[in-house]
Amino acid sequence: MRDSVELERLGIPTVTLVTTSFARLARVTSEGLGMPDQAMTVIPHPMGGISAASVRSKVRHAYPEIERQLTGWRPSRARLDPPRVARYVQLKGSVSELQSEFQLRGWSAGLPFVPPTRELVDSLLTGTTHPADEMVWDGVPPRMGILTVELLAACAAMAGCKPEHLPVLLAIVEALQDPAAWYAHQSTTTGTESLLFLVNGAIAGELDLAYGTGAAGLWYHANAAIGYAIGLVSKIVGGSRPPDQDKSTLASPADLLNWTLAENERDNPWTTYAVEHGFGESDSVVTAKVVYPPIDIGDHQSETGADLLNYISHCINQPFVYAMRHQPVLLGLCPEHAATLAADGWTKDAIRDYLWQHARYPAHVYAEPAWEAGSIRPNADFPDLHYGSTTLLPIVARPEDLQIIVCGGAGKHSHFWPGPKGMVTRRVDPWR
Amino acid sequence: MNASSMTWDLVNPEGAARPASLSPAERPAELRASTIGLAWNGKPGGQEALEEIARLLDENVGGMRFIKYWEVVPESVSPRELSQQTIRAMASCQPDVVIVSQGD
Repeated sequence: MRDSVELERLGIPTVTLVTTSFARLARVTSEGLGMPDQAMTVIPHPMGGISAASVRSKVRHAYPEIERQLTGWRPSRARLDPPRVARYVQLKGSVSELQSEFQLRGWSAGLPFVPPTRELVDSLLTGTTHPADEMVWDGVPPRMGILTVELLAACAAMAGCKPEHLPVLLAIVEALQDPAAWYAHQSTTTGTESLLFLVNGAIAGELDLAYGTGAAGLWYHANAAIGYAIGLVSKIVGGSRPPDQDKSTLASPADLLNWTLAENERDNPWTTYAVEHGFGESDSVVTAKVVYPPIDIGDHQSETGADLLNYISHCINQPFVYAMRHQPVLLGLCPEHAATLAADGWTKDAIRDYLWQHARYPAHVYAEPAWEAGSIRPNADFPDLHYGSTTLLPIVARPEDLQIIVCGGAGKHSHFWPGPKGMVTRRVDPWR
Repeated sequence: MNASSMTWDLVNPEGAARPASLSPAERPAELRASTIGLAWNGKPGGQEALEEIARLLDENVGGMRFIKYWEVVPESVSPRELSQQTIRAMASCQPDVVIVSQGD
């Protein structure tokens, strides 16, 4: 719907074809982008995964409406209602009744949260010098909720954050607005996407962010609270809630409790992710990435770097809905695997090159009708790359799309996070 | 709620939504002799749907020119949010109206 709205903004009328399962999301997105109504033809779900003849049949049934909308459509509402949301709200009742009320209002899944009292939110605001009413996001998709520092602090309060967590949260919010972060897509897609936040530099130690054993397992307060707070921003302010707005077919727990971990800089035999991307060793930065659920790479056998990479290349070798749209992907090496590789002289670049060469799958894994329709092909970023059905496709288009970090504690389990897009780093200090 | 228990002075965590209103663009009075853009987001089935719409329009109205954006602006074939540059490239083809397939 965003593209339709942008065309309308340029004075070009549109008619958008959507399926029944996505009609509600389309309307909410359209409203959030400032259009109270949009010409939309709804056909029965789905459009994909069925024969071309079935698609044509659905279109034929809808054709009279499409033709009418091209010339004769008029909006049912000329303007949006002005916002009626109070900055503060007073409720009465027990803790349990408050929990129920929040759930009724769509502010909670019914799980425990800390009530965002004005007093508590004020105390969180001491964690930053930025004023409470500063707008830090002029529209969190898909609802396009306006996020202020105070509102972020309210979500942080609900998640159990401390004042010192606020600068990291603000840096994450800054990162998510970069188009490269692909946040809007992540908030509504049918895919099992969630967010991962990687913290590097001095701030990790200051906040006692876990980087070793179980770092991402939510039993460490700073990691869990930061990931939960951003999850609440997405769900409450952004309105990305199933089943109408967040359309993830199944979703994952990380949809609400986003992955949050510090890089294990202590046991990293190479430069850290942040240093590799131009930051200083002590610079406090956070990187946001859209990820799919990770693959566990448990290799207890390999004694050499070459054997280990051979194993890893098979673990991470998987197709994606669109060929080579995994970019960047994230390989989180455990310290023991990293040590095995480094001891044999493998650099990060050499690892990337090896995996790009060896983690490949045949293009014919995609169904033939998709080939005929042209929907399975190298994406628009690589229009000159040609291949046939027997070509072995790399999991990413370029070796540099494979990012490497060191994370976790003792043991021989690395992790691989596929992901469609997005890896954006921002400094924390400007938000203190 | 039980009024005899606690009173909670809270920050409303939902906040306001963007209040701006955008009026829809003016539609062409008739389709004959118009230019119609066909925008596909790259998801399976969408291209067939747009091709069929074009065929039906040709059959029922006729005299139109179609812009298949997947041919003239290939970067528009994407399920992700299109860049402003791509949107402008689509607009520069000067369509009178665009049919957008958002199917899944």
